[in-house]
Amino acid sequence: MDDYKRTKKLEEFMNLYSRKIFNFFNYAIGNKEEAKDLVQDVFLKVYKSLPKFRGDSSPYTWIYKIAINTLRNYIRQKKIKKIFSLEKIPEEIQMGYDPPSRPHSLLYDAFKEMPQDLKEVILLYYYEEYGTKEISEILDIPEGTVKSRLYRAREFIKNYFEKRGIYGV
Amino acid sequence: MECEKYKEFLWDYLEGKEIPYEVLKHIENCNFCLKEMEKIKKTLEILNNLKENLIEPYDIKEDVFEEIEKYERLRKNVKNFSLITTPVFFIFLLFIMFNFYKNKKAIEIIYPEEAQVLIPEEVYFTFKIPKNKNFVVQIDTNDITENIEFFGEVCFFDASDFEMDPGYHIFKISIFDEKGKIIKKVEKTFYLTNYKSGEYAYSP
Repeated sequence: MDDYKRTKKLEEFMNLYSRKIFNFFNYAIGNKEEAKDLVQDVFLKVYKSLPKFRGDSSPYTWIYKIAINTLRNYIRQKKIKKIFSLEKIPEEIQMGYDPPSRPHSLLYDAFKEMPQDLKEVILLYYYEEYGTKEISEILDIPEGTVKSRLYRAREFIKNYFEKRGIYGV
Repeated sequence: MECEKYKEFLWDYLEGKEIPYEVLKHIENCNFCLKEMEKIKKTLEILNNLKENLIEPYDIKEDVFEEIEKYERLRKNVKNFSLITTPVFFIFLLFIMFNFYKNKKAIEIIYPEEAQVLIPEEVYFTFKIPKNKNFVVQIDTNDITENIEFFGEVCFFDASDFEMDPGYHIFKISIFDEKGKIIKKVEKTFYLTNYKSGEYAYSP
């Protein structure tokens, strides 16, 4: 693949998927600035591995695999930094969402407390509208695990809402 | 509780998926499940709206291309650097290997020819070593260990200086370079027949 084709392909992918991935990250980590950086990382990785991409899976699935790995690395590093207290995350950054209407801001809050493995599945399912089979491909886990995580994630949100009285008394 | 078993199906049902008839029958007649379904319905409404609450992002393209430019520049630099350094590294490696080989080859221990050595003819070890280099030779017998520093092309070592008893003696000879790294190690047995002073008569 020559440089021109490679750049063109990357541009095409960015036009198609950067917005979606950015929002996916924003939901997943709740920080717009860091979501931006992560999207850049993803597309830099896409650029680097484009010559190796054989098209065995759809580009979308392939890019999402890269995105999930980038997200996981980010979260791992964040955890390590937290353990060693190298970085104190200021409150305003932690809460750095664009606050939408109430149920949605509650959903954001729920995501913040949801375990990472459940969050990945529920975002891929409802936000990206992937089927359970595709999610199992992206996350490299059996479809049965995807289904059980999806169920646990849904119940997590339902219970979260219930505790905060969103369903009324 | 029976409802607990069916909980998972409630989500599927509300998402329009097929569920077993038995479950459907239960749901229709269960107040608890109907209440649960109300909650699930509301939750799904919110979840299904996830896509509609998107933030319009800035255009990331410019930043990504900037990063790519940096990456390519770095890659080219590394490439150029390795183009220069690789041959240098190999030449250096060859030089080290050559020197190592030379050192190994150049040190020659010329033993006394005979296994049986008559003293006072004495045991001489002749070392042929490279010029202008320092080596330490350690001669180790059961009785004595001696370090001798050599400097020069050919040196002799007179074992009879040690006043050893007549009989079989194993001479362990180790040669070290200046850094204390061992270069050569050999073992040789000699039968010493006489004491230097001539006190012992030869008797095989």
